[in-house]
Amino acid sequence: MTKMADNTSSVEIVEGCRLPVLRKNQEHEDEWPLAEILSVKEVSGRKLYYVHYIDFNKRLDEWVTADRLDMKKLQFPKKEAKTPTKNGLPGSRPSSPEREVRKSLDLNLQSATAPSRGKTLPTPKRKVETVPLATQVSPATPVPSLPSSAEASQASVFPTVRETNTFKSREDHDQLSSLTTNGTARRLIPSQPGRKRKANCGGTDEMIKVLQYNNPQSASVFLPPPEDSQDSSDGIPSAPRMTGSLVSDRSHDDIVTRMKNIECIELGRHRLKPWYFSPYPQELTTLPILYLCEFCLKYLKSLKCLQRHLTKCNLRHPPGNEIYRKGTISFFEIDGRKNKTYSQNLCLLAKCFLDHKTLYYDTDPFLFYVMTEYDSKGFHIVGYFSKEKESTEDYNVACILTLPPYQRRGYGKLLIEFSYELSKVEGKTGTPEKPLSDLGLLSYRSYWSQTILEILMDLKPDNGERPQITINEISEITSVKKEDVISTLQYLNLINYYKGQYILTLSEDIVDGHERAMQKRHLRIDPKCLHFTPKDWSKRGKW
Amino acid sequence: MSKLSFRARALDASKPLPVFRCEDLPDLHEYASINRAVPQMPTGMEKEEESEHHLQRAISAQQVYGEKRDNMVIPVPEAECNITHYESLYPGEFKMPKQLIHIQPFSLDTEQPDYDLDSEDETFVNKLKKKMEITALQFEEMIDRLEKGSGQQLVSLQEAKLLLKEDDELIKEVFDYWSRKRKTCKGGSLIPNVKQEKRDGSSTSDPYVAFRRRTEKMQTRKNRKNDEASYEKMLKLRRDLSRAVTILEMIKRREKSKRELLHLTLEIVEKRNAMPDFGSEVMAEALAQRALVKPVYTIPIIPLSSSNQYRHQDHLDMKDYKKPEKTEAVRTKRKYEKKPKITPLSAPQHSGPSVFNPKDLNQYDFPSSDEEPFSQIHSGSSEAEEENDPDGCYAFRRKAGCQYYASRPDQSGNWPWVSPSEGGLGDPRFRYCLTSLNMPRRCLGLARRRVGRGGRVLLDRAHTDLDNICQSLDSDPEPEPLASPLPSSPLRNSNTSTSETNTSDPASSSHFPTSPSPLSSSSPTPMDLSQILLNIKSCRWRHFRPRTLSHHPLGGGDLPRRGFRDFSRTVSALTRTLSGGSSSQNRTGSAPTPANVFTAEQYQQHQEQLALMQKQQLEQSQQQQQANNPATTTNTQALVSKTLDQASAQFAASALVTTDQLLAFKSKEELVLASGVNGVLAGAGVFKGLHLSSTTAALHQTNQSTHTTTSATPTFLQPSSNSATPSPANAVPTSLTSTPSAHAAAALGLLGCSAANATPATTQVLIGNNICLSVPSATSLAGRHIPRTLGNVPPSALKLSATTNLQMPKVSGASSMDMGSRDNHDEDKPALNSIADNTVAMEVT
Repeated sequence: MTKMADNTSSVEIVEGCRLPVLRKNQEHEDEWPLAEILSVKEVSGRKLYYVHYIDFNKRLDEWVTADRLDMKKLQFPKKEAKTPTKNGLPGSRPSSPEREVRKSLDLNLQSATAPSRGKTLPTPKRKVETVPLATQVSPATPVPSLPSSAEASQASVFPTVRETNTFKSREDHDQLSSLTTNGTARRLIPSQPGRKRKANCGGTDEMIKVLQYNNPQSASVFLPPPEDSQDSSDGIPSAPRMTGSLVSDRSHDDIVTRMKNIECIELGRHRLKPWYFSPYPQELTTLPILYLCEFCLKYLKSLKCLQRHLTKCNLRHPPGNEIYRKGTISFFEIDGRKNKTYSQNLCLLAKCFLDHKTLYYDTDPFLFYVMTEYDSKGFHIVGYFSKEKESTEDYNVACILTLPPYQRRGYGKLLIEFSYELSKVEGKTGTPEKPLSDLGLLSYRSYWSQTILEILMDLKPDNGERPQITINEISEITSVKKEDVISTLQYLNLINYYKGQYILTLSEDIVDGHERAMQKRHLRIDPKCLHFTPKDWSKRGKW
Repeated sequence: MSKLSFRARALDASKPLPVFRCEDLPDLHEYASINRAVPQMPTGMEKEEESEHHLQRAISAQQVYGEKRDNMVIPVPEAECNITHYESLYPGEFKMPKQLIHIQPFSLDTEQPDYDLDSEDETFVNKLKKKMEITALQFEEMIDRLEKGSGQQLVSLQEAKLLLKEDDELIKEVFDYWSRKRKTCKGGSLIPNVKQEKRDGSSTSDPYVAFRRRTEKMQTRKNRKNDEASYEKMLKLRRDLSRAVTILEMIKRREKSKRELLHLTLEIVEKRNAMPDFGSEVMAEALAQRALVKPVYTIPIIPLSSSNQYRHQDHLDMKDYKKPEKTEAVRTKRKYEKKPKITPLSAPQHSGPSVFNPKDLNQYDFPSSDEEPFSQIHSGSSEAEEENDPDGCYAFRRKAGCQYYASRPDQSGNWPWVSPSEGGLGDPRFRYCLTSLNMPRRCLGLARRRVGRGGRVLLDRAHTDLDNICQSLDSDPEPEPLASPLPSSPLRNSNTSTSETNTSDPASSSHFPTSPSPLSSSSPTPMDLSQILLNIKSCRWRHFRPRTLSHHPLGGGDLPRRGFRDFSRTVSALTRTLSGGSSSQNRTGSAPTPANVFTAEQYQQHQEQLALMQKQQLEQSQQQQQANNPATTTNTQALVSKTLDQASAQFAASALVTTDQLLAFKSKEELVLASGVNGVLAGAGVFKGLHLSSTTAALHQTNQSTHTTTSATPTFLQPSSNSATPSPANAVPTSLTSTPSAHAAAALGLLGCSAANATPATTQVLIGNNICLSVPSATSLAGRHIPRTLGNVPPSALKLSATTNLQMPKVSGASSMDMGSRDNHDEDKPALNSIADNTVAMEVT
């Protein structure tokens, strides 16, 4: 790491270093978890370090002063870390803005000329690794000869790729860009079968499928750790898939997106500390507080601007149709195509709290269901979930978020419940789009558990026989997708194999726990208050 | 625990699972180890996140306690509540509506500015308020417009003034303030916006770019087989179908207007018949009046587009109807026969009684000039509806095997008079220059010559300030009877235009060498008459005047392209024909000096003929070159004769057209009966026409015009005499004795010749003429037949002389003379065959 010499003043703490960093836990006790330095900046003569606590969620990443760093246990980034070996540790990619610059230079170089083979294979060790893959790839290519070295195999493979894809210069370019962000050409190779086939079948979706199909193979062939293989399989370098709202691969992970960029958001009577990066206009990221209009979610740079804006903005509720109201809780449906401004503002806000949310594409294919709580000032946003108008994978939720001030008060479950109510009206089963966040998993598991247990406990003996139910029946009643039912039953440890058949067993703990939980769950969706007619979006020309 | 080896069945989602309470199954724990048989479902989380400390703690806590403990929850960054200024910020109450809120589609589009005033602006506005009137909202609106008006580049003050409606002083203040602020602003715009993707795709990985459009790829569903290819196919199909619909609509329009035209023509004929306007004086008057209404064209010195020229030409053509011998029907037909040669705009619709606007014309013309394969279908369909098609046999038909090329407006100017920049030759002889006429003896002012349809020579007149002077400019002191005092009166225009088409002096090029200052641009300052005269005389200005043919009448001018192998030969042949002509002139001396019998119109016909001859010769020379046929004397002779045959035929045909109207039907029918063959009618017509004109001979026998006509006469009579030379068995004797049958022979020769020649253009002409022929005479069923058979002969078929031979008897079996002439042409069959296909293209385009 020759580039390291930048911040070598007295102690060499640079991006990629690891060391214990002091933080307070929930019990306000000091603890020193290991953390990685992601960025360093200097504010009025003092150095600040952006740290990611390893094995903690990114939302806890923060800027710390030097006195919170335990310098004695400082680990420098490993040499190998230069090539993007992600040693399986989450968020362990050592990278710095500085390196990004270098990479983009590389990109320029490489896009100008065809990537040189010497560069693509940095170490002999890598070569050995790529050999099996190349041989694996070669059947798809017209040159099936077993190469004696990776160099040769690449040489045989490479021209084919270029030839078949010369007309897709943009994608080539992107391919290269991803290649260089990774530092090696390894990514080029795994993506090649997909690209090859893409040239044949000509569809991104197809390609994704192909790549996913190839994933296990490449993962097994690839020495590099799981994250990397995921990169190579899912990371369509050009552009993320166009369906869905979440990214599961981190191939586009810029160091920028790994750091929170907004310090504070003022929304209505709340001040929120964002958890993750959000692509608000860059000039607004330096502000101490970003002001949002509570109703239209417009972002404003100052309180004065917000005041001025409020004289002009007469919204007192989300700009959509209210499809549910019970008590103070309402749901508004917003079409991502018809009301782009609001949808985008909502997405920007949501991105602050959703790590995997992608804002890469427009909001057109989504519907947004905004949950509000009414008071005399208007309908205040509490949370929302988005939903694809047409989902090919039975997703009934794309992104789901309860705003932090309302969290842990049952609103999340209410949102989930509402999403399943919609599915019930549609007559479909549904599942949330993956990947789930930690909080998402907990919320969904909790909802599923309660929903299923509710059904199981309500089952009455039937002619003196044991009550029984199929998984499909549970799925139909709840609109929870079959797989989620099974996983929940499993998680709750309800499925047992007993005397040659599967049975469901309800332990006392489970029953008691459920009853206690249900007592606390007073916020429920009343299906009678839902005024919703699903539209058949497939019959419309556009979303 | 031997049961461990027991393999559990897979979990069946459709199989009922009995629900037990644990307390009811005391022995359950014995089976516990088998539970693992149920496959573990994925959590749906990212792997590395799944292992996160807080989550694991929370999960285990939940599993242990059945619910989350407060200290086991996943910690999140804190959110602060109860902002103190909230109440003041969001003033007012909002009453919950009783009904569910339903938003109106466009109620969101408020006209409010996106820009929001900040505190810096506020100070500025407050300061500004002391000087002039401005509100915060107004300021915001102004900034908003300025921001939205400027892209990469800032709006300038001038643009700002256009953008903003406020008074200039305020605009300037705000503009200055805005530009200052904009300069210091970090992000591109004062209205912060989420970064947009760049078109070049360079922003694919920019983390701040969001909400990219996903329209680049069509969304296809994975589970359906409609991929992009089929989608594109559907798009193409749709486009093709809609195109077909458009074309059909246009065809419908075309046919409708055709019908209209015919009805109007019929009406005119009926009206004239009722009047009775047999002498067509009324018609002439009406046309003259119409010409009065027409605007006088001011021709640009260098015409910008060919369509412009053509329109003008049409204008002139229309005025040719001083003697409206040609019915409107003829005009229509002509339009069709010539259309492939000219731009769509130039279709001479003006001649029709109904007025079309050029736009309609364009669309109207579109389908028929379309060269696409399905146009064949159209022509077929129009043939199918022939029964109710009012145009009937007048309708333009495509010949099978004949290629029709669309007009090429971009390079239609392949004419000598078109400037080189437009693809022409830019021949100096055809530049605008002072031009005089012979017939009404006067100077026209600036004009240029060019060859129009059918070889007519047209004069394009250019308007200059010198026109008035030019009118009086005449070197010849002889009074001009027709000169009207109004220099630019349309009436006079129509008068002169008939004789305007007279010129094409072959010797002009030698007489007027390219002068250094051709009058291509009109001098803006009016010039003294004497000055102009002086200029002309000193050859500084070119002045074109038709010349009398003295010695070398036709050669030089009509053969602009030298280097033909048979050039000299042709010339000699021509001179010979000339002499023959003069001899014939002598013979026809029985009639009072045939030189004088020609009206200007006939002269024009003659010019056409000349041009045609020229074309023919050109073709033939090419043909010879291509076929590598040794050009024997006889061959050349034959060629010439054929050319002339055709020319004469052309003349005969056109003369027929004139006689069609000149003569009452009755007399024509007589003639038809007398001759028995349809083709004879043409000749008879010619004769009649000649006779008529000779009796009503124009009185200008002296001076230059006489000379021109004399020059015309021999050429006119050439065909007969010349054809006599190579083939003694031919119509020579008859033609020399200028009897009607001689002309009939000429006409028949024309038929045969064109059939043998198979130059589609001429054939077409003939068809057209024959069709004309058949109109007035009800008895001419055979006449209808002939053009059809002719039309059906594709040029390729003509390669086989046998076919021609087979068909010829059908066409004109009665005429032995025709056979003879055909025999004559059979000699050049190989050459013809070789050229047939080539000439098609040449002729038609």
